[in-house]
Amino acid sequence: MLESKKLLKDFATELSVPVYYTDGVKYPFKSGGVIKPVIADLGKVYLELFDKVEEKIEPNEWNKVFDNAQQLCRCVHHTINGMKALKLPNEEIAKYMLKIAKAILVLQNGHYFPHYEQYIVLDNIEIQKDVAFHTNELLFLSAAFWAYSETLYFVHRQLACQYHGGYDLGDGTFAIIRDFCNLKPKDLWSELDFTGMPDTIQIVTVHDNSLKIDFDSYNNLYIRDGNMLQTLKYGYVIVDGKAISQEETSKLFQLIQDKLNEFNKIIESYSDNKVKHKYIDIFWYRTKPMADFLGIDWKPSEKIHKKADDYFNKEQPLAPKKEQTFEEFASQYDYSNYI
Amino acid sequence: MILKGLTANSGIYMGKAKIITKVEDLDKLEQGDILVVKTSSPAYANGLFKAGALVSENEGTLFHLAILAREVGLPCVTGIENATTIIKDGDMIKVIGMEEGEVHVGE
Repeated sequence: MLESKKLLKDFATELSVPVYYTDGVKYPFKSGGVIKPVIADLGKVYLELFDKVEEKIEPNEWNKVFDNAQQLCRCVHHTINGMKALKLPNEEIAKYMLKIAKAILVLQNGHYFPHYEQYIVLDNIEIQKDVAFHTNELLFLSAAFWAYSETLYFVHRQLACQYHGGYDLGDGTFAIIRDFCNLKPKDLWSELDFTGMPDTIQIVTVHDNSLKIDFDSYNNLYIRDGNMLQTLKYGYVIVDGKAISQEETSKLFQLIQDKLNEFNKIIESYSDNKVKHKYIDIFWYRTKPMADFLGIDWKPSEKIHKKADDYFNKEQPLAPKKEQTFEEFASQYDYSNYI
Repeated sequence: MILKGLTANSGIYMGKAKIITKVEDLDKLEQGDILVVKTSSPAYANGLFKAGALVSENEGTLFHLAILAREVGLPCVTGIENATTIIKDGDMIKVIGMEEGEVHVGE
């Protein structure tokens, strides 16, 4: 019981770091404002799917459902808000929080929440030095795919990417691995042309130890000391399971820049209302890994869109910003006393 | 004039300012220009690959372009109020991402 209490307390603290310190202005809107009218509906769907999946898998099989831990982790604070909106008892919320926290640890191969310097999810890594090269485009490509993930999924970029590392290579260097997936979501963006885009891409960069990095629980990368570019020793790119050359990397970098331009111009041409409805779809898309596993449709119903539309069409007064210390903020996600 | 902000990625860089307020304007950005933006569209990522530094009105180290600036090693100062109106296109500016973030405009 003590272990569960500690897990829930640590989970609340780690989750609160990125949410508390987040920037005030978000692309394209603050997600909380968009999901507010249907947060209880989303919470209900999420928990129902979670329960059904849980019945069909062993506790250590969450990797049959999710591509990465972030796909589950970055949903948590909205799921908690959904549970609150559903007025679930605190004990029930604590029960789900514990289940989700344990599932995240399974997806991280038992490694604990990211905490200072590392976000380790693999026990062993093998660096493919024979296909490595040195070019700044390795980092540019990473940033471009990160931006591409955010173009497709807005704040929920975890649907397409997870960064992990730094994995110590024992020779004064360490590796950062960026895994990208779900790069052609035609069922979400039927209007976008994904021709030429890969399904998955992995970008590995190796840096000397003078670079000091941190990850938070939402996979945000911070630099404590040094510079990514100046410390880059070498790296490589794996596209759909196959290593590509430096020349092919340059071509891929050009392609991704073109897609960024093309897609963002289309999205910028949309009305605010249309983007908000797309955002609702993206929120529901987060249930897709579980829905796919169960063989059911992930899409939100027309009723959900109508409910959201009624809310968007009314002028909403801005909620006053609550001044809270980090400890006060984190306490709202801490259900360790209810387990 | 010294404008105070928050360092989102450290480094010092001096160059010509380019104010970007819509995606189409990215074509006007030249290699080594300092990208000055108001908001956080991922569309502006393409500008980071040409820019020498990033200045934004948005504040925060988790401002999305700031995350990308860290990835590509660009000095980045955020939270410069009215940066896109105080700084003019073509101004020579100095971005100082140290313990405190500063942007020096003019001589």
